[in-house]
Amino acid sequence: MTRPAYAPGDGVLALDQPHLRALVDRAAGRPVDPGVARALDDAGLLAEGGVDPPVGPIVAALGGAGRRLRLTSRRRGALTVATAAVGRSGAALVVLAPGGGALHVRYLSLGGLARHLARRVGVGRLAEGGGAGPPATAEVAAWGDLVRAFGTRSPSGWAAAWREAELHELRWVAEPGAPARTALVTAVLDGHLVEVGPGDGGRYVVAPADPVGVWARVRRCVSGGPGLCGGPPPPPPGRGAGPGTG
Amino acid sequence: MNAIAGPAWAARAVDAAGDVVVDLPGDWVVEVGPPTVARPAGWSGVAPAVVVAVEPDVVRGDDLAAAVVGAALARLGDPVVVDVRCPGDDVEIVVAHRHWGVDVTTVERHRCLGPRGRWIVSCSVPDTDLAGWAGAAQRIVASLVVVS
Repeated sequence: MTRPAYAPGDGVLALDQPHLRALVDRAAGRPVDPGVARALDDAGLLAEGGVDPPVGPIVAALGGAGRRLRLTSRRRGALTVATAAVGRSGAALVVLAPGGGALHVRYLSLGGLARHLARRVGVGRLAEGGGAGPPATAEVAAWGDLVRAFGTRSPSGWAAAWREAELHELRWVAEPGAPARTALVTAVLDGHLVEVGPGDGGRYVVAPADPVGVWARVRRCVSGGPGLCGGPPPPPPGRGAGPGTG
Repeated sequence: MNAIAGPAWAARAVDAAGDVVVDLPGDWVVEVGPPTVARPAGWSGVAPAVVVAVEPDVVRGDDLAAAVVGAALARLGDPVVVDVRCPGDDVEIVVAHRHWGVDVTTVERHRCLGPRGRWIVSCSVPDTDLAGWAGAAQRIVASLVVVS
């Protein structure tokens, strides 16, 4: 296990899955392994009778029944998973960086979470010089083919033609344990934002995205819930955002 | 939050003396500028509001687009530049950001007026109303035209 890192003044909270679960358990009054509790206490995460106050909204959101969003981001050979749990006044965001290791945890306003997710899915790249000359529409035969192009560091598959490529899938559940649905699939190809949607015969279509439309849908998924996401592509089979905390 | 009708007016903008003149529906109020801020009378929220301003510079084209993006990133809270377009000679930018503790999306339209400077129309909508107002905000800023 990794020792937790906690610096509330700098917005730093990094810890592994067992410590994060223990933190949520402690806030809920459930018993916690003494060794884990000691590590949490040493890091300054515990206070008498509960958790350090700045951590309170985070563990309340993670232990609550609010909706979850999970953004799976693939770069070539690198996978990042960001899971958000929506609480009363904001949302806890838990990011598992490529290579595993520590979970990085933040608490954001709902708008802050939406902007964070929007940046990750590729909105805002216009400001970095992308956007001009959108790539042509392409078709990909199956979800596996879409994902496989990001399995190694070498350019391959449908995304081989682009120097820089990312694939992002945003899924949500209305509450922990509920079935997960895909709300949005985007890719960023040499700085150009494209959206992946359903095509004929189970194929997927990759086409230039409307960034305002993508932003509005991300925002609605954060604040509105399932019925407002509107027209999501069919979810890849057998995968869900799950009820966990990270 | 109040429900208001969509934009149904055309603005009359910079007059001969260089002052900004905007025609708005009768139930809207205009606060003293600059910048001129117009919002529906009795509106309880921060937005939507139409802000009209004139900047003295004469930047245009790609330079104007770059300046608008740079200003948004430098001046707004936690900004995400969602979109930048150049319809005709204008520059239109859509930015999601934090404003006075409220999460909003702002649409801004910039037009170079030559020696008279740059005409700016800005409309912000709270993100909670984004579904109904994102398109309306873009129509608002596009409908306010310079007539002089």
